[in-house]
Amino acid sequence: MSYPNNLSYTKDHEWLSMASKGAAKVGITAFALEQLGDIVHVDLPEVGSTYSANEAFGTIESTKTVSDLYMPGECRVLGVNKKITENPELIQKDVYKDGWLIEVEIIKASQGLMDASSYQSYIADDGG
Amino acid sequence: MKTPLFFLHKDLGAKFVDFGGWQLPVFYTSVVAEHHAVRSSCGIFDVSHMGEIAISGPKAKSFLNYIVLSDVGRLGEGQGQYTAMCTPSGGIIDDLILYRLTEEVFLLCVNASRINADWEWLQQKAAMFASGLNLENQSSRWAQLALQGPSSAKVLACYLGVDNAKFLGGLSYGDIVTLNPSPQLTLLVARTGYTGELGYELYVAKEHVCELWENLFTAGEEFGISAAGLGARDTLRLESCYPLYGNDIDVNVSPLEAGLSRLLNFAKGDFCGRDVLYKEKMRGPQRLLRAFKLCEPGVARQGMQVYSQDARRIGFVTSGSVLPSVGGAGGLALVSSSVGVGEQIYIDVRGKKKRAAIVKKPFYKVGEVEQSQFEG
Repeated sequence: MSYPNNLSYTKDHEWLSMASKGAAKVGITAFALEQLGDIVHVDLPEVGSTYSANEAFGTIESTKTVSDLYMPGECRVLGVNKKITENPELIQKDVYKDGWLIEVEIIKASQGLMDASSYQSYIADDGG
Repeated sequence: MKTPLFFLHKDLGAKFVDFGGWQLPVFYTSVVAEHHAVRSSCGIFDVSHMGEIAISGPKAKSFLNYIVLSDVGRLGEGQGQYTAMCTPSGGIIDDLILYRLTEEVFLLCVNASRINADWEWLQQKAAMFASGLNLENQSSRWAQLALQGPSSAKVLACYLGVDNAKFLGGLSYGDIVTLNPSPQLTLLVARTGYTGELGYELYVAKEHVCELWENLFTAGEEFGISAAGLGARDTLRLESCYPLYGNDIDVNVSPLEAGLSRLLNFAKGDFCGRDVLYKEKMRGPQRLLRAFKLCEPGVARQGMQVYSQDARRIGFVTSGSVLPSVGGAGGLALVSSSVGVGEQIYIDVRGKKKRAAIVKKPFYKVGEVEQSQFEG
């Protein structure tokens, strides 16, 4: 499983890629995907809605379970990936690029974001 | 608890799930891929968690006829039937497969989560019989593999070799045969399953199951055999609308509500639950286990509430999943019997009312199984 160096990672197994001027894309990590298995449904928020840090903004559903998705900071939603909501199985092809879930404007970033190597030791330590 | 195959599953990369106290593989690589492997070629499942209870003696038949809903007298030697046992008030204690191995020896294959409850119930009821009846809980002695899919007969024949494989051809659905692929190895091979496909369930002594799994896997390689987990077992049985004990049926559900009225034989004489079930049959059940299909994206899961078009609460979802061979998502729901096939309903999926339709059971039906491959 790969964990690109240019991304930040959360304890909830999401990644964050900073674009410009406080905008970022958010997705789930390869580890999360491996735990979930086949993705069958993704529920994402309305564009324009705001969330506080660690608030659930949507759900990702595999054949067996439903998991909440959590905001990696105080954020406003700028865009959602409609390709994924329409064809959730596409996330399995490329979890870090085309598999992004939402684009947000970060109002205030969360503490405790990890870089790729810290995230890998985090998942090695407690398995999530 | 772990089955003898636990470490083998681990080596195959299985993700595990707790199922009635058992650590069982939920999937190895993908639920959907394993589901399709069973529908298109062959899957092998570790179902060693299932329970086995042997009942024997001159009184075994009359005892079982009192215990189960169906007519045990219709079972010949080497035949099995899907049936259930009920409380005096008509609630399902367990659904099971009852095999008649010989004239006076029967084997019950029961749900893992119900082994203790079933065993207690059977012992309690057996106390009415002074002699001529032996009960033995053999669950810890047996392991069980399920070989399922259109290629399962070929895989099994390839493993068994010519001398033993000839017995497969004569097996109708539910039949069971004892085979000895090698002098030390005794197998009970039943033509049964929980997937809707042609398939076999193999009963083997625990200490031989790893060897059996590996040999079947080797035999199945050329047919594209795939290890399959509980996740695929669940989507496959749901497409066939087979109820799962603890989800769709339990002691608060009657066989008539569960759509299992075909199991009931009121002509055979008295059986446990008969009076209540007879009255219920005459009156008609208040609720029915219905199949539904979601008309919007998403998945309806166990426990979600079901509403009628005019917003009355009419029941709840008992099983829900994506349906890989059908497309979309659906499941089973225990709903008011006033709701019929074709009607539109709404299911509360985490606060959103999603549109669904009651549909005819099952979602998926396999064509007639090709028998000619056994003949000649």
